[in-house]
Amino acid sequence: MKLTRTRLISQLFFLALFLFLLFSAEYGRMGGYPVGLFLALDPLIGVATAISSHTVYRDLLLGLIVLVGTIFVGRFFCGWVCPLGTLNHLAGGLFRRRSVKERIEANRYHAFFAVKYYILAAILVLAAFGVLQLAFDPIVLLTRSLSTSVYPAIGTLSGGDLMPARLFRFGWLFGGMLIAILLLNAVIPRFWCRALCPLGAFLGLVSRLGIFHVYRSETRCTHCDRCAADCHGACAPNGRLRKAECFVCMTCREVCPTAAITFKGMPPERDLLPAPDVSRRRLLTTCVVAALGYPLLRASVRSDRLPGPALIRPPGAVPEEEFLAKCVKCGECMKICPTNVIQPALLEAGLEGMWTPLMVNRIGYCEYNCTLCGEVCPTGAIRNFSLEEKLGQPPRERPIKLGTATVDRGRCLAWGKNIPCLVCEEVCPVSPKAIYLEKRTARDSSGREFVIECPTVDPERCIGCGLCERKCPVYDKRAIQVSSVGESRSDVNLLLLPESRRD
Amino acid sequence: MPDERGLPEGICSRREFLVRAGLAGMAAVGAAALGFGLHNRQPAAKAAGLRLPDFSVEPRSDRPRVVAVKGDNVEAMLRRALDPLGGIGRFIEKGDVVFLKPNAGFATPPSVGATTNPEVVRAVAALCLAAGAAKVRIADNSINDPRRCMRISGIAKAAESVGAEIVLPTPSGFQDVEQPENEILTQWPFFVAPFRDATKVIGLPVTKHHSLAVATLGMKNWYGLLGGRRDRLHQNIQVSIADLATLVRPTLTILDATRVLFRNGPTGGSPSDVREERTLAAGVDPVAVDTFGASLLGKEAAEVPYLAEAERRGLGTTDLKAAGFEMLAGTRVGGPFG
Repeated sequence: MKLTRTRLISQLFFLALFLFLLFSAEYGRMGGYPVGLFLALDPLIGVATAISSHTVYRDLLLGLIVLVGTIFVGRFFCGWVCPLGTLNHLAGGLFRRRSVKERIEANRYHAFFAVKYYILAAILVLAAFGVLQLAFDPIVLLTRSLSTSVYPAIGTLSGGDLMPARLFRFGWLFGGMLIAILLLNAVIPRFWCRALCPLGAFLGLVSRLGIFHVYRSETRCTHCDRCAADCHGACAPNGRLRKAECFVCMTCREVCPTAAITFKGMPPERDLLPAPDVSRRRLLTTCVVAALGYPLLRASVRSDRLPGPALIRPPGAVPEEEFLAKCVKCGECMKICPTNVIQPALLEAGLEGMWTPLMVNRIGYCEYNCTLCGEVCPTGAIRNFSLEEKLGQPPRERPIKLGTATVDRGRCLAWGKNIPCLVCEEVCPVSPKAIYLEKRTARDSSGREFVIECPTVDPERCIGCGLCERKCPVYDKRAIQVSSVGESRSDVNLLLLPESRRD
Repeated sequence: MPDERGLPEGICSRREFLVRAGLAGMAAVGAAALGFGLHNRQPAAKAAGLRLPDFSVEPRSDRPRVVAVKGDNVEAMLRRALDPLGGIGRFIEKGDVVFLKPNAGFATPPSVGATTNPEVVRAVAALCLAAGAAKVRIADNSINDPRRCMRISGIAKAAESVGAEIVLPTPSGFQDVEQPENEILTQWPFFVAPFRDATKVIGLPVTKHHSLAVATLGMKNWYGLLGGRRDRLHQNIQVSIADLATLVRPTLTILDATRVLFRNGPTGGSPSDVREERTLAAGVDPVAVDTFGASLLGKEAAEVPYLAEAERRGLGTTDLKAAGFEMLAGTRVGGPFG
């Protein structure tokens, strides 16, 4: 079988595997599948989180497979494995030019393809300061777009039968981003992969060390340029090969009429351009600008020092500073959450925390006996917490607290409108309930006195799960709302003295 | 200047005139027809709701309407409770499609008593299948994520072990039901999918404390099939529960009181809120079954307003004596009543 055919099969296999694993990230469907396999295999996630948080979490060690593989054979991940690369490849096929001449022009190298290296430099410099910005890593981006937009759209169209019809704030943005990236193939094939992808840039840097690579024999070459017509990486196989751009797609080797192109070990480096096409001065400028960005972000109001009320993190979320150094914004937690409560943050966590997960209790709530978000988080921004830990079962003294509920007495039916209700008390899942009833003598519009029971929150017992807010019948702006105050993970967002010291 | 066909400048041919005038006329008439056709001064009328069939059995004066059994073996207790009512044969015929409605409202383990004991669900499903039922299906529109409720409550596993089917709520499974004689639930979105082609309906409630409603028992159990903005019903929960009992007329109600959630209901949360009561009640009178259930929570019928309301509507009696109530003892396997 032709090598290019094998490659296409590999691409389709890994795309299907990616889609299947993400589809499987659902309660009752996980069944032991490694749903975060591709995130774990992505070495940029491993390296960037190692720089920002000084640890390599759980499965992220698998990134070594791709890293070491790239040291030997170059950017095989881009050409053979990456699901976003494959989607771009397929989209590029839709816009394929007819004539060989046009294709040679479309697949030629452009100086601006070096932009991705500057993006990578900015990411790594910021990571060194503890600011992790991996939102545009291809695996992260594709996971997020599918989780928060494409799969929910399919769910909605199928009436919730095929997959859940979840709702996400700004879901259209994440789907739109993917569509835009695919449409860029109409301008230049694999535009994203060649010019923007930070993972591609990282693997390009690593492939400088590549032992095996494509080699063109000058004596056999007739300079027909057929190899340049369908080149995936725009790496100029017809001239001096740009090693850092080559996706190892093997098209050049297949189409060469004189078999001048081979894939071999240790061909002489003088015949190619091993290093990325990066200007030292621009690189330095990029690093300095990124480094300047850090104090600006630190000097802004940040959620670690001044926690905002709406920034309610999922259970198991580590303290905010560490959280921002670990969360890659992939959206796996949003995909797995059975109640849809986990939503992408807008500016609640500051600029650097955009698209990180938070809980919006109007949409869902944190289910009492659930630990799924911690199970799927690839980087430990949400720890893999146990149910016993979440519920505070012995020997632990306290459950994980996400925030505290507050009754808005003006909006509450019982307090403000003299109408019995108590849905919040009914659904409160802790024992004893964190919402207790206060009897109050009320007077109706004709002056008749009667006794009504009204809900009051015990902040000591409340775990901030938000079920009361979710089920409150005052539908537009709920009469009981959770805010982040009292969350266990923070040592500034505190509310109560410990019970023993309050008498 | 005339063109090659001899027409003066700016004048079209007769043929062109007729074709173009015809098309324009048709477009104008078509647009007008469409506009007038769709024109409507009234907003679209709400489609009429579905009426649920009455699944209850013929009353029999020679049989009690509710009995209870205390014991340890659920299967034996179930048979013993059904015996005086006429046995399972009175309720299930060959080929029946049976819908079992447990209380699976929360994703909590059986030990906290917020959901129907899976042992009870399994025993009832197995008995129906043994009596010739063609299919047994189990469904609830839970408060927590339905898939997780069925799994964590142990009911999904119980269903699988006997070959009963679980029906999960999806948007297409809901339809408005109507009951014009009701006060509140005259027309309301309802989880009707499990009723489709069902010939028998058995309620499998669990016995729970509830701050507002006083008690969650058999009639309140149907709340779990409501869709829409059901959280508003708490503003008049007592009448709402009586409405539910008017809406759903089950073949049989089997009240699970193996564990009683006597406080902190209806969610529970801790095994310390639960009392091992080791009791099962079965009845064809939903009001009588709930009256007995309330007594397990230490409540007189008079303290539970929906019981009086349901009795007033003729749905049953709160007088357990009149219902022929019997408390049967002893099903301890190998014990004195073996």
